[in-house]
Amino acid sequence: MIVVAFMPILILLAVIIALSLLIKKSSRFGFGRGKAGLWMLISYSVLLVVSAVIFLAIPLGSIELKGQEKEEKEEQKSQQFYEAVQEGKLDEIEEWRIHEWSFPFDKEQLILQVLENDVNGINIFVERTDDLTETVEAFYYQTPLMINGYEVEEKYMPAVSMVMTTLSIYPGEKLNLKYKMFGSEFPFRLFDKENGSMWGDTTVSHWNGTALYIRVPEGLDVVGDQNAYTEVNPS
Amino acid sequence: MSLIEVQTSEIVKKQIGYKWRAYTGVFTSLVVIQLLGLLFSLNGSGSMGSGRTVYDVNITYYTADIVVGFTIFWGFLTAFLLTTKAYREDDFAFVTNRKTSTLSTIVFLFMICVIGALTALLSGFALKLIAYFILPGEEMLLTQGVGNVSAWLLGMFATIIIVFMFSSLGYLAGMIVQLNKMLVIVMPVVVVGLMILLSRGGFQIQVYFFEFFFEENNAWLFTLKTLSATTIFYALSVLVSNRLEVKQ
Repeated sequence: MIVVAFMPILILLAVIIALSLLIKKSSRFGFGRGKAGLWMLISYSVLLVVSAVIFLAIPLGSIELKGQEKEEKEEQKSQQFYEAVQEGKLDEIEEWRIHEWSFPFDKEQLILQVLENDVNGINIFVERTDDLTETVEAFYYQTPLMINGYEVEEKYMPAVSMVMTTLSIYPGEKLNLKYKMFGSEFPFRLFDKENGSMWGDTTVSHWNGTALYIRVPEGLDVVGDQNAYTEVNPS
Repeated sequence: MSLIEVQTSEIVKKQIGYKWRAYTGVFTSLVVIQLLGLLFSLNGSGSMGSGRTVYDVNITYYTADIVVGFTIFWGFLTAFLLTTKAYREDDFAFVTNRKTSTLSTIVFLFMICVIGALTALLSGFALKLIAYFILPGEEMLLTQGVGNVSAWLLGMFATIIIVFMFSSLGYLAGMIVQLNKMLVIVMPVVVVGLMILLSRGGFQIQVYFFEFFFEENNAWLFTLKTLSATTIFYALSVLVSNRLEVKQ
């Protein structure tokens, strides 16, 4: 472990010593002397130019990041999303609906089995309505996850199931997203006012908003941890 | 006294030609350090992992930032080593004085800094090409382009003057060390010690240094700051070199 901790320093020292030996005139190392150094540079430069030409010529199957303009819009939408959910305006959040469940239910008491919100990862809302009889409905909404303007296509889905009188909501399969990003070098980012300072880098700057909206018949007794869900009363 | 009058520009030109042919070791070291930088960059120059309960996002960045950083360091070290006695005495094979010798070294340094900066930026393509072909199929590729040609040219110019500025710093450090060899130990101790002392007093000089140069969004101001610093460092080097003994 100690060796690993000192590795960067050791590598840096090795680089400094190697460079000093290569440049130092009195060094006995013949490597890079005479025309060899010049030829090395020429060959290296040719290699770089060729790779630049190939890189620019091949059609890369990549996604160009669109930057912050799109994110700001998404940020606003996300704000509207939560406002609409809390007011029970489902027609306004229709575009973000991912999945819906419908369970026949004729009992008087519904047990809501959910984990705490911070563990579950989704926000649960419950609405009592006259529109439903002997049915429990659940809708899952999700606003996009954005990476500098790029909308992640993979959607998360919670595991919702009804067993007897218990509606269970558990976290679904965790989504592991792996990306490789080709960025520009820091001198190019120096004068890029839109993206801020040169140290700024791409991040998931806008997390998705989620909501599991459960509609139950009016008068149904819902039993569950009060901290795990929010009651909605659309006016 | 010679009857033939020699022009300073002619001598400087000849000395640059000589240095170009003689100091090819600097090119070898440039290629070696950039290849090393490329090797380090293959692991990604940075990665970002953020996780929430439902998503676990991991982004690995590929940029030639490490190569550019290594090139800046190479510029510093090369300039530092060019001030050593073995290099400076070479100039006396020609008709020279301290002024022409320093001038030709500065021009030579500028030339190699241009080469270093250009190859460093070009190495970004090589890096991305390698990274692209070794990308596993399921991983997605995101790109963040430089933008237009003028942005590219501006970035290229910025890289050149950054490398040149650090070479001037290296040249100054080298010249100071030539005054007394003990300074090679004393100088870093004083600089680092001062930095620690000042940071204890709430004045982090290294942070101000980087903010002053690298958080400047205005291209004109950035150029002015960088070139002014370069001029000051070289002017100080000339002043220090005048304190050296004759043919030292």
